[in-house]
Amino acid sequence: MPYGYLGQNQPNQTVNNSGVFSITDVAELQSQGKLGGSLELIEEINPSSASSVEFTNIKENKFDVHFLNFYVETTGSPKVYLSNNGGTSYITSGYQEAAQINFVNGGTGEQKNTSQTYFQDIGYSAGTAIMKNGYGYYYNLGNSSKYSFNTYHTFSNHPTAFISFFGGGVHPTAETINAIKFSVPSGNFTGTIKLYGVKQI
Amino acid sequence: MSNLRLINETNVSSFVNTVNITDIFSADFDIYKIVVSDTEPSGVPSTDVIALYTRFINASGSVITASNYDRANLVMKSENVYDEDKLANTSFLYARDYIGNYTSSGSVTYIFNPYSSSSYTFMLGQGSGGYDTANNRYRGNKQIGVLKQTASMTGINLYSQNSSYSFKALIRTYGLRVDS
Repeated sequence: MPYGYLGQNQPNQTVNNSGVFSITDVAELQSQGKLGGSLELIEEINPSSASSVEFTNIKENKFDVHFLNFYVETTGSPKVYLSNNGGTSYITSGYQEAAQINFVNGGTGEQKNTSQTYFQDIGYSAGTAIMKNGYGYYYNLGNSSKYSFNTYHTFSNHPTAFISFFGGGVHPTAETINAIKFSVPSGNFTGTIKLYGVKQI
Repeated sequence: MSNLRLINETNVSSFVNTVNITDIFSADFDIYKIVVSDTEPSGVPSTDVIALYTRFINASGSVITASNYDRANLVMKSENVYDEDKLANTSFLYARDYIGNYTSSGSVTYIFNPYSSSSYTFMLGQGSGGYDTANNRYRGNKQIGVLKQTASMTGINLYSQNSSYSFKALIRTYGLRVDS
């Protein structure tokens, strides 16, 4: 059933209301625990100085698409890793990646690997702390019969050049993923990392 | 509160080589987000892939097949040099989903101004998929495109580039509400 339509409860309505919920919509969505839009915040972590943070309750049985949003400050190069045992250990091999690097002062680069050690890259390391911002969509984490994919886009204000990454990656093993780790191989980071589930009907 | 409004969820649970999703664009929203997940191929050799092409559907329900699309797509490969696919005045927009034996894929696409009869319909998207696992042909891609028609579009058509290849998919369409 579509929601956010006053006037009539159909997607091809003629009333221009910019997606306003009706009272009926609110009541029904609230009864289902779905009121609040189509992204559901699973967890927000705000480390003041940490080398890694973990999401160990990612609700992989509820969502088939996840959204990770982050803005962190660090001298390191953060990565995202997956776990198939609730965070007891994390997978550090066998990923595949294909991404593009863009430099504001000219040039682009290809970052590709068929035996990558991480699920998603966040950005270059630098001698001084720099902001790294971005997001990633993760697909099929809770599906034991499908590979886990991502698409992502990140931005870093590197001291010598603003840099962006975009691309994707895959964990080419059909298994259930039930924990995510955001970490830097060396150093620490501060900032905010939020994990959302993309709601289904 | 999120300003995403779920408009339509189409679960293509039987194998098809084309799917029309109609009545999803309206005067209510200017920007739409389409999320494709849970894809599965059929009839595709392990060394080949379904490139999920896109066309728009107008208010009369007709799929736009005229050569009025411009597109640019960067195909990022885990094992090889990247490809730039760019073409003007073509009859479809290129894939952001590659559905092969990487057991599923995923993509997010944004559509701008489809319902407006006074502006072109623009899109940008990103996808993640692959084929030929024995040779690690993982594909990420980033795409932009436009339909150069000042006509009102109300839906999209997704189809396999090879009519003998078919697919399943879960396709969700959201509207981005803007508070004035």
